[in-house]
Amino acid sequence: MRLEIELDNGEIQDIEDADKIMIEIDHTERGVNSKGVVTLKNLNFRKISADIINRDIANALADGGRSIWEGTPFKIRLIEGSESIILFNGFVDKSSGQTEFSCDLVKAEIRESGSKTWLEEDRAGGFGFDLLFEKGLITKNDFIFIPSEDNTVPDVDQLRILRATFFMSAVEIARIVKDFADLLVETAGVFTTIPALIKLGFMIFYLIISLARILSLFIDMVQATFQPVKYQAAMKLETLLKKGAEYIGMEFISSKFDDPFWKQVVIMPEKPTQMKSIGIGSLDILQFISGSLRPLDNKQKGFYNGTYKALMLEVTKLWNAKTIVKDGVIRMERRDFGVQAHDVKLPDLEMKGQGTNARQRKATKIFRFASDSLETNTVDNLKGTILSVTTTIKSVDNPENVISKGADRVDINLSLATEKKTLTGPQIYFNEILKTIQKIASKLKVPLPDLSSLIEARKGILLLSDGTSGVPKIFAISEGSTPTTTKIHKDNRERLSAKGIYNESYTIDSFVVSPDNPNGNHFRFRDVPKHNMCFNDIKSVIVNPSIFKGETEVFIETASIQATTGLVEQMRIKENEVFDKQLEEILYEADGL
Amino acid sequence: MGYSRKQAENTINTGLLDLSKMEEFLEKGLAKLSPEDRAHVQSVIDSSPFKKEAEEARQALTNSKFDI
Repeated sequence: MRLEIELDNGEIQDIEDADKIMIEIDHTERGVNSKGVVTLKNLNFRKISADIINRDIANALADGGRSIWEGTPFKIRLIEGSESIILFNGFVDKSSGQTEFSCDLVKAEIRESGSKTWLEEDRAGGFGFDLLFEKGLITKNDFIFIPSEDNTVPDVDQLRILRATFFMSAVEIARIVKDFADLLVETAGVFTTIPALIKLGFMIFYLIISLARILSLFIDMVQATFQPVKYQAAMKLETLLKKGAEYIGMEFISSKFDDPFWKQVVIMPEKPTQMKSIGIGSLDILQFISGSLRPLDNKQKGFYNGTYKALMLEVTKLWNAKTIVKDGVIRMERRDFGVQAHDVKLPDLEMKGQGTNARQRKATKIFRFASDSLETNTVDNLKGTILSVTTTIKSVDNPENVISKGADRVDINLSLATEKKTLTGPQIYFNEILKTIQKIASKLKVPLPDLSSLIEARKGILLLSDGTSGVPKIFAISEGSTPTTTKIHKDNRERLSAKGIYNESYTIDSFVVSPDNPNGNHFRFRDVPKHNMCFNDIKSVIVNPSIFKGETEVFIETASIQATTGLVEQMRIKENEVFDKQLEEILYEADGL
Repeated sequence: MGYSRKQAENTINTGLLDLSKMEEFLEKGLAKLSPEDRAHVQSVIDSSPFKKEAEEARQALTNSKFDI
């Protein structure tokens, strides 16, 4: 095996101690997202390569030169015969404070191109979705408009005023009815005299004016006390993740989006400002009640107000995810995804035991979605927001000897959505009023649709306390053919809740064994003595921790391999093997009561 | 042909006045008048400021819009 080192796309030979380059593999939970990496901190570039880097730096001042913030390409290949592996595909970081330059020596920091470290430390935190919107990568067509209703209006006082107004209107109608009845009796139902006909003519005018005023009053009351359907711009989670990756020249994929539920998950950014519901000016009464508005005229922005890195962090928590960055693809999957056995075998060597992962057990794990002081439904409808999972020993003889420590928190900085499931008391009352409004309107030949059923159609939409929010929301939708028919997904609160997230993503971490999970998250560690690995095995274990000890599949935790000789100087493996069956798990969902 | 209180109540038993019924009464009554008397009644009714107000009110409702 030999190493080939390329700097700025040309082969070089004068890197100090190049033959001592080690392939460091880290498949631990901590390093779960990294494949095998080559240890290359602060490499010393001698004369020829120093000249290349210094020339590159000088060119940063020239037209069309390479910026200091764009690294000089640097690759290491491991070659055997006609086969090769790119051990390292990176760049010399000329912007690093660790880098020292002189005319015949450059001591430089090396970064891996398009790696997870590069993504998280150097790229994803450096831009937000607002930039993508400004650059036209996110457009209005990417926004999903979510119909919503405010549930704090009308309040009790408004309802009292409403009832009083309705009563007075009814009295006024009754008075007109009585006047007409009197006139009918007075004329015996036969209008042939001039005074009676004039009186009748005036009465018709008076009736029209009165009914029109009453109808107008009702409509005013609806406007003042009955909230129209408002639209809140949001974006699908998948679109956000894909657009962010696209911006940095990569592709985002996840098998999570094979699940139709996650495909319909949206993130609705916070809206601290009270919305004018649609911002398009005048609406007629049908639009007002049904919400059949033109939401695309809306000026709202539906992208997540944060950086790509911040969103990836939230997704990592939601999915218990790892991020794999390789070959221009960002892939986020549940932590245990994609470990497929291959046929690499360990030599038959005596391995020393190094204990278990028992210390990784945390006695309590708390899952919590954010509450939102501006959107009080997040507090009033608390169930599903917080889950605490405690593992305890089923039976204890000596309580003073028990080790049960640690609490992990999974704080998701997104709030949950509340679905409108029933009509409110005021809405039920309004339903009755609307029937009267329709009768009056028909007398005046003002065509109105079945307003009552339009109110019923509001069931299933998003409920907000007053249209504002201070924390972005996450929820799944059943997308309608038009925004007006989009509802909250029927499984939303079951799956997008603290308990739902735990069941879907975190039971793999549990130390409690069960028929579904007979070995739990139990692992025994073992150290593998020094041995040699061939080129093909190195190639495999760099990307996949799976390896066979006899007939048993085990997993490499860490390994340190000399690149040119294939000598495995250190290797630690773990084997999924149950070592305790005395635990039980207690789940508690806070309900605010 | 009389028109009793009972019949009057029946006319309005939906709880709301039947505007078209009243308009029908007016139309039939006017038809029974002589052309001169009809023109007189029509002119008094038409010159009423209430007529204009009623038409405007009905028109306003037909075109009702909300600013929200």
